Amino acid sequence: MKKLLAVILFFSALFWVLSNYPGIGAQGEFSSIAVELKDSSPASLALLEKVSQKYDLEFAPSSAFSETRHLYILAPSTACDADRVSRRVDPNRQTFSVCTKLQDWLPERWQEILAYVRQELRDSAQVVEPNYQYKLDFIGSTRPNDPLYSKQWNLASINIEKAWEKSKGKGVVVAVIDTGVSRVEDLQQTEFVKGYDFVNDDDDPSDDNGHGTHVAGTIAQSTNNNLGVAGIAYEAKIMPLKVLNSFGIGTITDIAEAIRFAADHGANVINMSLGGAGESSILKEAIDYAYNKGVTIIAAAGNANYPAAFYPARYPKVIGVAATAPTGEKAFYSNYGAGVDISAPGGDMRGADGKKNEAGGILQNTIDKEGKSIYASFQGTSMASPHVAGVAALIEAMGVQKPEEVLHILKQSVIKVPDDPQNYYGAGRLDAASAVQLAGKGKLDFLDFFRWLRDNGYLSPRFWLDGGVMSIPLKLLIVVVSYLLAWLLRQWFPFRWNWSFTNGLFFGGTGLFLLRGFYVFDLPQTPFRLMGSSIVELGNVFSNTNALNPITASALLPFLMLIFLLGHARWKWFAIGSAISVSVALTAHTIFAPEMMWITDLWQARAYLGVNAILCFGLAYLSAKSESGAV
Amino acid sequence: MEVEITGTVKQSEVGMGTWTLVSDRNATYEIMQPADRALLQEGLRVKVRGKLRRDIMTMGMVGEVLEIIDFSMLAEA
Repeated sequence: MKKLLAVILFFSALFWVLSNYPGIGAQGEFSSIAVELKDSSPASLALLEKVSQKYDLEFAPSSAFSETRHLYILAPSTACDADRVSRRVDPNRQTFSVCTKLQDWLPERWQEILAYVRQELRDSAQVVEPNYQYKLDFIGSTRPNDPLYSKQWNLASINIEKAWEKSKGKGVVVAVIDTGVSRVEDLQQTEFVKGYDFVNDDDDPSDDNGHGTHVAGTIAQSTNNNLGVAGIAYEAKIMPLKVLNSFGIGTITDIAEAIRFAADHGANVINMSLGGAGESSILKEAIDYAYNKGVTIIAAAGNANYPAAFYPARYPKVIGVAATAPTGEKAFYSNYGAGVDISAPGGDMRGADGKKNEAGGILQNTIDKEGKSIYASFQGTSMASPHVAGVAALIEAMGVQKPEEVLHILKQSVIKVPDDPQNYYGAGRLDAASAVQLAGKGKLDFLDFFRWLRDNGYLSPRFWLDGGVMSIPLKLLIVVVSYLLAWLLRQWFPFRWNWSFTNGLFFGGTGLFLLRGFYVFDLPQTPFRLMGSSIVELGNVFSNTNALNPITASALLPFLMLIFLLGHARWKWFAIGSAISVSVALTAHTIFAPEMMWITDLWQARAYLGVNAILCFGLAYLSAKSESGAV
Repeated sequence: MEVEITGTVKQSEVGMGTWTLVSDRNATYEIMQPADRALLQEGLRVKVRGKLRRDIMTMGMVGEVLEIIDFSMLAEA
């Protein structure tokens, strides 16, 4: 009874949501306006120009083909030439700042402009609407636009792009205990929290060496900012703690104090690209203190090619990082053996002819001796350690926070090196993608789902435009609601979520999968309609009408599929998934578009679709319930 | 701890670059900076009196840190 109530509640909520659905782009951002004029007469165009000038916009035909449709785009003018300046801008004002401002208009400002354009063009335009920018960044390619990114072999070698799909280290604080960190140009967009300078005992932990800034860059260089290079956890925050002087030397007491400072001021991860041969109880106590406060501590193993990590890397509660060359082999300088927990790219800049080979190093933005911003390649375990610190931040941003769990994930997710008797590599080579994968295991991940959508072509605009009878927002809604409903069902009786099931969810509600690449061939229309149609729309494939066919827009096909497929281990989940999404699609049609063949009365059509939606859901429910015990 | 070491001065290209003293027994020491510029010449043969500094750490991490007290140049080996 309780479950029945839940189902009723679910559908009521669904109805409510659908009836209040404001349309797909309601929350979207736009920075241009699309206008479809009734005609392109000189009078209309003159008016359009007048309207554009009020907000310093320019208008242009949307594309070479749109003039016949009188479709124009109003966008901020980009050119700041002298002519425009004299025409439009007060000569006493800085013209270039005005131009910059135009690019940075806030969404509220755009709403204001939109309202104005609508008002002014109410008689001469058919359509005035926001020209939404569809951002697919969160599911699209994670390859950043930083121009020097292609030189960062080290990031490619830890599979960073795949890791970024799930985590960019957002909100995690990484303390960089080093020579300080200067906010060079490619750290401008990186978030910083308050640090401290233990060398000079003041609040300004700027770098006077270049080492710490480079290390911070590997961890969180501003990324996707069209500038310089990328960093691993670029949404993490840097806490700069200066303990090494301009020569790169520091006392153990300062280092110990910095560790405690980090632990007391909210650092989640500490990176120490420093070390020495001597052990110290002061240092060990500080490390225990931070570890017990939940801080993950990472340090460089050392550059002496010595068969044990230096301190602090060698302490059991510190993750000691050895360095690998671009080939993946141990770097010639890297310490190894006792205290090495994992290995990461540190580079090898020995050239064939005895010269420096810059390409073999780790490239980041830092400062030169005069304090000027430069992009420089270095090699060393100092460079390897921040790779692990960055990935630790990615892991922590996924919700794993205990240092022992972070270490466990780092070690479990490595690319193992089978034959390593001297412990050159610790558990193996760092792998950011597997690490975040492991950190996110067992979570219901919507991003996974969207990624799957993308990979199967669902996010191609052509899929949505050519998909069939239903409108784009409706299909999108059906996808999301089907997924939610399936998720809800799984709360009652846990079943294994597999791709047959997900495919089923789609087939029923929105159309067949694997459409990617299908449109390159110039084939007759019917197969396309067939492929692009959902079960509900199948009856329309041959009839060329938008009115639904009552035979396919019913519980009949899901019912038949269940009967025939329930005996099959994989396909039964496809059938169950289909039944769920057909029920959602039918519900959506009940509410929005109950136009049907043969049943002309609106309410009769609604009743027919509604009853079938409930039947369909019942079928899915019963099947999932009976099958959930079997897996 | 005060030590006397005979060896060769070498620049290490790891990290930001570090000056080292490689002893005749093939142990590498990191020369603590700032050090006398006269000492910092690639391939220089020297006899050094210095202090091993275990109370400090460095970004170079190429070996034990040696604070130079004084040194004398030797003829080429």
